[in-house]
Amino acid sequence: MTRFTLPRIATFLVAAGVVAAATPAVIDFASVKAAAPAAAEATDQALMRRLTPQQYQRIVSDVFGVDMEIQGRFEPVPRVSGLLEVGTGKVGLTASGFQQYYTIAQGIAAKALDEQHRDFLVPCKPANAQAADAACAQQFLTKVGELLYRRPLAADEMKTQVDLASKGANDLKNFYTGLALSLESMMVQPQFIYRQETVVPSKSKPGQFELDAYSKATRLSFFFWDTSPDRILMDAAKDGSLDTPAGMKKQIERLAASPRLEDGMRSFFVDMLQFDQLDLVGKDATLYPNFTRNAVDDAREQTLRTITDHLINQNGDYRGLFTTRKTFLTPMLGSLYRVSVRSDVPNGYPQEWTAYQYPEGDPRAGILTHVSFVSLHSHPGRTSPTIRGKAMREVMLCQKVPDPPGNVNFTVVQDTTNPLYKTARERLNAHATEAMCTGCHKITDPIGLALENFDSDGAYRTSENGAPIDTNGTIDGKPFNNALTLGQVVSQLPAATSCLVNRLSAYGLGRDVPRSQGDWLKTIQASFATNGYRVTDLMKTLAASPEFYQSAAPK
Amino acid sequence: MLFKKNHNSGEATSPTKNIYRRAAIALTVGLWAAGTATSAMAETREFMVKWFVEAANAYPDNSDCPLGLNKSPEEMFRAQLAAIGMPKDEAEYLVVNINGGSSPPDVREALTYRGRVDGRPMQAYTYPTSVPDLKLWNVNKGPYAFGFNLDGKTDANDFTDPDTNEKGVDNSYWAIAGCQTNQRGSRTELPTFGARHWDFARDKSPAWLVRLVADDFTKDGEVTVYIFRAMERAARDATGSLRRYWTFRRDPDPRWQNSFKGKIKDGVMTAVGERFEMLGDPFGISNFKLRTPSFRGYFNPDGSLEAVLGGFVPWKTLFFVGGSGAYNFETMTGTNVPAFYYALRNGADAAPDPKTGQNTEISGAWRIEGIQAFIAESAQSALTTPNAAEKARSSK
Repeated sequence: MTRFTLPRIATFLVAAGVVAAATPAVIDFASVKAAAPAAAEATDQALMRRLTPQQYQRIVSDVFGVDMEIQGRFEPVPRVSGLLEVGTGKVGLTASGFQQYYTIAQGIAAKALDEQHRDFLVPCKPANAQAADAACAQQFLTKVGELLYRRPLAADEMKTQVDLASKGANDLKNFYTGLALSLESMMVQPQFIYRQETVVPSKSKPGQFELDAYSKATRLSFFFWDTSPDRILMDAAKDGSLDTPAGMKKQIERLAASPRLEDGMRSFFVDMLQFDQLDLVGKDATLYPNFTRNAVDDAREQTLRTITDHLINQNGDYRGLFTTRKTFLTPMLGSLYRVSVRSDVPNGYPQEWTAYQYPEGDPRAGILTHVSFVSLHSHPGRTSPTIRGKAMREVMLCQKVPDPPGNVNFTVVQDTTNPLYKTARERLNAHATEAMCTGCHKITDPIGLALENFDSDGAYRTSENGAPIDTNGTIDGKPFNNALTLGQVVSQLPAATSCLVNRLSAYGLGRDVPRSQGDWLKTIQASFATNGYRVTDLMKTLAASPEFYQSAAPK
Repeated sequence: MLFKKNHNSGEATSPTKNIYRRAAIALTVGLWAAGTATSAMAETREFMVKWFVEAANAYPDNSDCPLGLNKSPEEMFRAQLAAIGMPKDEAEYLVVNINGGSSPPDVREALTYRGRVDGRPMQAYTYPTSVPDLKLWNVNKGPYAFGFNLDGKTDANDFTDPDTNEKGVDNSYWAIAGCQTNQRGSRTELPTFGARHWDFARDKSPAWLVRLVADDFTKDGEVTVYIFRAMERAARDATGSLRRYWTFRRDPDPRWQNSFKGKIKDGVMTAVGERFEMLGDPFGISNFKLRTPSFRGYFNPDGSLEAVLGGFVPWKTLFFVGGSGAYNFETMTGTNVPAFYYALRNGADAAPDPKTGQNTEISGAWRIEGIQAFIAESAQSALTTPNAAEKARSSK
C-alpha cells in the first residue's frame, strides 16, 4: 500500500470522509498498484490506464472550457510494446507524481469556479454565497462528476463530495471555495486519473466477461476521440443501448463521423510514430542552423496533417502514406526543405499552413522522407542508417531489432572525417566486418541507407564528404534504389499493414492482443484489406467487435 | 573573388589578374553545390540581403589615411566645446559623463544644444552648422576603393577598384568617412557603423531581396538583376544568424522595384539600372535612392551572393540617419553628427544645386551579402495591409 500525506487536502478530505478513516490523512492508491499488472505476458484482463497529459488536457477543456491549461508536467509513462498507451496500464503513481496531480487540480478547480467561469459552469445559484448550499453543490457535482469519473457517481460518492463542499463552504465562508475543494478532491481520485474498467458477465456469451456499458463507452471514446465520453455516449451507456449491436453501431458511426476523430487519429499516430521523442531532439546548430525548436514543432505537425488529411479527409489507403507527394508546409519548413512556401500572415503572427505537393522528380514522397522521421532517427551531428533502419523495422513493421551488445566499438562509424570512409555506407561496411555486428546491421542498414539523401536535419543532399551517396538496397528480397522506391516497396509489405492493425488494436485495448485472440486479429486484418486499407473503417471494425470489450474473469 | 583576400594592405590591394578566373570557379562550384539543373529556360536565383553596408577597404596599417584616423568621439566633443567657448572644466564634466542613452539629463541637454548662433544655444542635430566644422580627415584619393566609375571620367579624386582594376571609381563617401574609426572595415570585418545599422534594421524592417535571372549562370551572357523589398522581416536560425531558404513576399509598391540589365563575364555579373530606391529602417538606411546605380556580383562556393552596389546618393538622406538619431545615435555609434554633416556636404561630388552650386549627391559603394531565399508574389503592398490601414484609420 502506498500512502501520501498531504497536509492541506487532509483538512477537508478526512473531515468530510472522502478518504477512509486514517491518521494522518491519506489517499490509498493500493488499488492503482494492484491494477497495474507486472507480467509481460499479454492477457485480456481489464485495466486501469493512467490518463496521458494530452487526455487530461482534453478532458479538462471539454468539461470546464478551452481556456483551462495544465500548469505543470506529469510523470512520464514507459513505452511498452511500442506504445505509451500500453504503458499507461502499467504505471502507478509516486508521491511526487501525486503532488503534481494535486497541484494541477487545485489550479483547475480554482479557475473553474472563479468569478469568470462559475456562472456558466455551475447550473444554479447558491442561496447564500457565503455558506453551504448542498442542493446547488449536488447539481454541479452530478453534472461534472459524471464527466470526470466517466460514470455516474454512486450515492455514497456523491454524499462524500457534497459534504466536503458544504464543510469547505461553511469553514471558509464561501460557497464556491467549498465547491472548488470538492472538485479538486475529485480530480485527484484514481477514478479520474485512471481510466478504470469494470467487468460484468457477458449477456451474449454466458460464462464470459465483458466491460460494462460505461467502460465500453470510455474505451470507445478514447479510441476515437482520445477523451472522455460525451453526454450522448454516456446516455447510450445509461439507457443500455450501447450493449446492443445496433446501439453500439450507431455510436461508432457517430464517433467516426465527428471532426473529433482527428484528435483520436493524431494521438494514435503520435504514439505509434514515437513523436513524443521529438521534444527531445536537438541538432548541432553549427551543422544544422535551420533546425530550430519551431522547425521541429512544425515538422511534427506536417506529418500529422499529412496523415489525417490522407486518412480522414481523403479516406485514403493507409499504404499511401509511404508514397504520397501531398503534404502541408510552413515557411519555416520551407527553409528546411529548401522550397518556396508563401505565408500571407503579418510578421509575428503564427504561420499559415499551405497545402504542398512535391513535384514529379522530387526526391521526397511519403512520411518516411519527412523531416520528422529522418531527424528523429538521427544523431545530433550526423545521420544514422542503423537507427533509421531500426526505427523502420520496429515502428512501421513491428519487427523487434535486438539492441547492440554492450562492448561494441563504434569508432569507425562515428568518425565522419576519416578520408577512407567518406560516406555512411562505407563506414558501416567497415564496421560490419566484425562478425558480432553483421547480423543486425543486415536487417537495419539497407533501409536506413536508402534515406541517406536526407541529412540529420532532413535537408536533401546527394553527397557526403564529396563522395556520392549510394541509396540502393533491398528489403526482404525486394530491391529499391532511393527513398521513393523504398516507400513503394514498404507500402506493399504485408508487415506494414499488419503492424498497423496490431498497434491500433493494442492502442484501443491498452495491452497487446493475447494469443487467445489471435484468430480475431487475423479476421480484423483481412477486413482491413477488404476495405482497401481505410483506417477509419479499421477503427470501426475493431470497435464493433465483441472481442474489443472482452475481458478475463475479474480477480 | 570580388573582394580580394589581402585587400587592406597597400601592396595587396593592387588588382589581381586572375580575379575573373577565380570568380568563375567560385560561380561554377556554387552552382554545383546548390544542385541546380541547367536548362534552356531562364535560370533564376533569389537571395535575401544579409548585409548591406558601406564597401569598406581600410588598410590595416592605416596608410590610406595619411593624416591618421580621426579623433575619438570624446576628443571631437572637447574640440567642439572649446570652439564654442565653453570653459574647460565644464566641457570635461560633460565629456566624462557621456553614457549613451543613460547619460545624465544635464549632460544630454548640454551636448544636444551645443550649437551656438549669436551666442544662443542651438540644437546641434537639427542645425549642424551651428557647431564649428571639425574638418574630418579623409581617405587619400587615388588608392584602391570599391565602386564604379559613375561619371565616366577619371580624375585625381577618383579611386581604382581593387577587384576589377577599373579606374575613375567614384566613391566620395568612402573618402570622407573611411578615416573614422567606426567606418574602418574590410571584406572580412564589416565596418561597425554600417553593420550596426543593418543589424538593427533587419530584425525590424522588411527584408531586401535580390533576384538574378540569366539563361545560364555558368556561361557568359545577359543577366537581369532585380532588387525588391519584402513584406516580411528576416527570420533567424539556431545560431542567431539569418535563416537561409526563407520565402519572402515581394512588396509590389512601385518604388521598390529596381532592375538592372547587364552581362555575365567570366562568372562576374555586371549590370546598371536607371534608378534605385529602397526603404529601410530610419535608424540606418531610411529612404535610400541611387542615381546611375551599378551592380557587380558573383556567387560564393556555397551559393550565396557577394556583390557591390554603387551610385550617387542624396547626401542629406545619409545625414538624416545621424540627424534624426541625435544624441543617442551620436553617443552610441561614436559618430559626431555635425562633423558628419560637414564631411558629407564637403565631399558631395555630383548634382549641383542650380542656385547655390552646392552638390546635392555623393558617390558611394555598398557591399551586399545575399543568402539563398525564395521570392513569392504579394497581392498588396506592405503599406496597404489591413493592419496598416487599421492603424491609419484609428489615428484619424
